[in-house]
Amino acid sequence: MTRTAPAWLSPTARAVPWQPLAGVAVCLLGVVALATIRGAWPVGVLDVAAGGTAAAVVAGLRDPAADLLSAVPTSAARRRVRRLVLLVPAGLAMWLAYLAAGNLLSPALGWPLGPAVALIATGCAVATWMPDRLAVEGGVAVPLLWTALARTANGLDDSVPAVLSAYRDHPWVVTTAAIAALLIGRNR
Amino acid sequence: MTSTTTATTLQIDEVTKRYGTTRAVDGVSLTAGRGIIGLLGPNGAGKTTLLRMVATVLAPDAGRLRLLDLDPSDPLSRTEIRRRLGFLPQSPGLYPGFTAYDLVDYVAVLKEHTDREWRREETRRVLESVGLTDVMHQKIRRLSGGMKQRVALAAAMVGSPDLLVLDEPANGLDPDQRLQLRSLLTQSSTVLMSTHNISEVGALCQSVYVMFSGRVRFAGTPGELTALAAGRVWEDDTQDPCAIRSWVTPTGAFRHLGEPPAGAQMVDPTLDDGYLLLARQEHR
Repeated sequence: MTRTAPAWLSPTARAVPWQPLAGVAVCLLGVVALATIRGAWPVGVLDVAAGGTAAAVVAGLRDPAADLLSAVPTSAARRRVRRLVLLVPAGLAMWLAYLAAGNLLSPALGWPLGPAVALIATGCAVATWMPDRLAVEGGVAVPLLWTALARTANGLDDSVPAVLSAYRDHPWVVTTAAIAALLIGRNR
Repeated sequence: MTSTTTATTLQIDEVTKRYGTTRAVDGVSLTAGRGIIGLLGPNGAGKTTLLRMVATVLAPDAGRLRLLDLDPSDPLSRTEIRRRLGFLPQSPGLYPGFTAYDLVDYVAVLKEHTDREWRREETRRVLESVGLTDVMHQKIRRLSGGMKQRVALAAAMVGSPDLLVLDEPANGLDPDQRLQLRSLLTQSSTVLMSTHNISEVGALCQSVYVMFSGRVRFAGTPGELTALAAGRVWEDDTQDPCAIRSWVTPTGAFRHLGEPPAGAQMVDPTLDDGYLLLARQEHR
């Protein structure tokens, strides 16, 4: 794999649909711009932003040529990993830049990297395990739905089921479980 | 079945694939060596599912497959088979932002060809063989449907695979391109292809399998399929209600299939007649 790395890197980078990440980046820039104008950081947007970032990373797994490539010796799992090697650092860099901007306005924000990582890992695990035709859609939907449900439940009641806020409260447990699911499904 | 082939490249024994309660492929057996094997049948007959199993994309629910003398159910063997196999799916998606050259080169990378110089020559060779030399550096989004089909075909043919699995390869090709495809396929080793174009089967294939409802209903040579309609095709100026199938020919006469009435003007059957007769019998 090391020998072929230079060969696969460039075409894989070009095959990845970057538009979802670019779209979310524009949205996050808009949030930063608005926050700068108002002089206050919108903490409530954080979950939605994390969900959007994770969904955009998973959306990069969409492969229009998957059918044509379905019988090549480089397995779908390996092609997925190669995409994630490019997508995850890009998504996390974007997320860190967003947090850096937030810390300038509100130092209390801190550096909540865990929830974004947990949501990305969960989305990827779902995309690995869902049937091919729905894989990416399912993986994209999960971080969005999870953050939306957590926020909705949070607004309704104090006794939020723990699972709804698990990505926020126990992000590294969620990440570990999701990575385990990814590894178990590596040949799918 | 009758075959002009020698060593066995493809052996399928009683293979079944179900989707829910539907048996898309139901106990199909097939053996082939070098040569071109045609798969005929109506939409939904199970051709695509069978081809996807032969391409190692789908695993059968029952039965046994042996490809290139290897067992595709074993992961290591499956990877080895894929190194020696080319697959053209029915509706191949491509990367619109890639050039034809980039896409074929990328497929070569995924087929584990690491030598850059070898890939460069091979990519040019296969693109030339499908007649795309002039447009190889154009973005795929700018190519016509027929050209895109040929890009996908070129991708399937990278590395001169020992086994080519082609699902309706002539889709979107004009008559000239179809002729080019024919000469291209005759140079390949073992080709299993599905098609709706019966004349293509007659022109290309050493053997033909006809599928209906997931099962193989005919296996033989194109000549044997044609012979099914021998003595059962006649023409007349009027439509014969006793015929099981009738249609108007370009000359204005009615061509009939079935049991001919006494004194009928018999004509030589074609491959289409054999297939249509088989299809009608299947649906009775």
